[in-house]
Amino acid sequence: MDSPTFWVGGLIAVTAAMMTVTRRNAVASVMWLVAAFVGMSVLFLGMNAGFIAVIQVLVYAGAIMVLFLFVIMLLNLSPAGLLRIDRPRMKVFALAASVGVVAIIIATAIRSSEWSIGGTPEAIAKRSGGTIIEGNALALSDRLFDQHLLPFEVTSVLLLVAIIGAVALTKKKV
Amino acid sequence: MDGVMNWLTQDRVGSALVKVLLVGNVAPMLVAFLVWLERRVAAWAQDRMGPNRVGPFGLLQSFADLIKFLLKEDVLPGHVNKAMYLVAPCLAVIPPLVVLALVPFADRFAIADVDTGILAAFAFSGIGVYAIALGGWASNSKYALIGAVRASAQLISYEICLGLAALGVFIVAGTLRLEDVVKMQADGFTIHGETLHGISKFFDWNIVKQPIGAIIFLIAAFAETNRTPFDLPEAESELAAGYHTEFSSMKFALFFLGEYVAIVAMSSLFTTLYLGGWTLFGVENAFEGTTAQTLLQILIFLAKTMCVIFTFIWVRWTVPRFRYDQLMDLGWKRLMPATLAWLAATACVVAFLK
Repeated sequence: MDSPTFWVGGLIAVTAAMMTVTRRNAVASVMWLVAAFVGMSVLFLGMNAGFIAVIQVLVYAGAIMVLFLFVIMLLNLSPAGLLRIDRPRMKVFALAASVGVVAIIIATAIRSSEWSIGGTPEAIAKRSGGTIIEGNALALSDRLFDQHLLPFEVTSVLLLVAIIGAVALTKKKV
Repeated sequence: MDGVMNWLTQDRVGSALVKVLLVGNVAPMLVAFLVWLERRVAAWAQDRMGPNRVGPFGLLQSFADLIKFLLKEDVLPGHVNKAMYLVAPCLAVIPPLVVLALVPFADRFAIADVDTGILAAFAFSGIGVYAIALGGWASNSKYALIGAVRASAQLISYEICLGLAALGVFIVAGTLRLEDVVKMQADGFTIHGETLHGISKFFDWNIVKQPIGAIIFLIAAFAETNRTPFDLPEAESELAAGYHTEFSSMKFALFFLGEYVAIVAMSSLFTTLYLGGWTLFGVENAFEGTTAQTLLQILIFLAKTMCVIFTFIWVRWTVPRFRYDQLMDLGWKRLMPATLAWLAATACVVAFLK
């Protein structure tokens, strides 16, 4: 909480996320979402998780969002063609719902014991029993390929199924 | 003077800032030289003179061109998406410059010595796709959009090969940190109980241990920097000038600069990963512990990088451009399986030797 990285990263992430949902131009939304991912990557850096921070930029900002941009560019969405919410009551309801959700999250966070401890590396270390666990590739792979090997492999099978499904659905009959 | 170098090689905010200024200014200078070199080599390949009027051997030609770019009218076409149109050229230059910040030019001389060095480099060079995609889209013209779409598809396809090829190095090295990769190539490994010395230390370079990986990395690097034979995004015979058709004066120059800085960045990555970085068979340890040592290491690094850059130019004027289906065919059906097979073989050998 008290580290400047948190405030910088948090500010970027939240501002960019707000801009993402309020832009009319879909391409602008994508670019703000990229900025939001970069902000989140800064947050990871502040938690000593350098590897995850880099992967966040590499995979989400660098690869997945490019595909988003690609599709949106080809769809050629014009602001006029976008779905317009003409019912004013829906707008009020949506605003109330989103404010409510954010309020619940903030309230839960403040009431939790972790709030007072904070999110600095030292605080995290204190909570996990003394040692600072660096979020680097070695520490992560130790956990991933040792303790959590089965879930990891199951996830990879899940992704494979998704890929095969996507190919099967879109492939033309030859 | 030694004090200055000691201060520079220490991990401090101040020294990092000085190095940022140093690299941030030297890199564009190098690009100016690079453009001149490219044109001279092109002329040599095509049996003509090339630029030889401005300054000795035409060396100042790039600066004359730069002044021209700065003084030309900065046209902002009426049909473009202004914000994106202005952001795109900036995005073209910044990511490759950031990649340069991760490269160790000499012992303890990287601006940012991070644990995940190479991954961070790939992450930032991946951001460069947005410059091309946005530039083409924001121009709101057919040729630019086609160029941008081609470029995005090409960059995403070859990024995978680039990463997988580099992965082989890290299986051998056991670390992602670029400094450690360089040191591993200089430590000398033992064959039949004898540690390598002198020139035979060449066998310690990753290009010897990872020949296929090195070739694939280089090919993917050509594609990532949009160089011939992969320069389809700006194939002038089909697309006018591709994604930067609508850009003029300094905005065009920024795209141009970004492309060449990306070449410098990719070449220095190749030098670091495969050619032993700042080391040269023990020569780099002459003048132990002095400023001269660091300067010598930087010189060695630059010399090696220059050789790689020359290869970029050489290939450009030797191999003709691919057709688009050939490009995709090469990337997905040939390079990708080859890289995976090579990676599996490397992993097996490393596991067996352990």
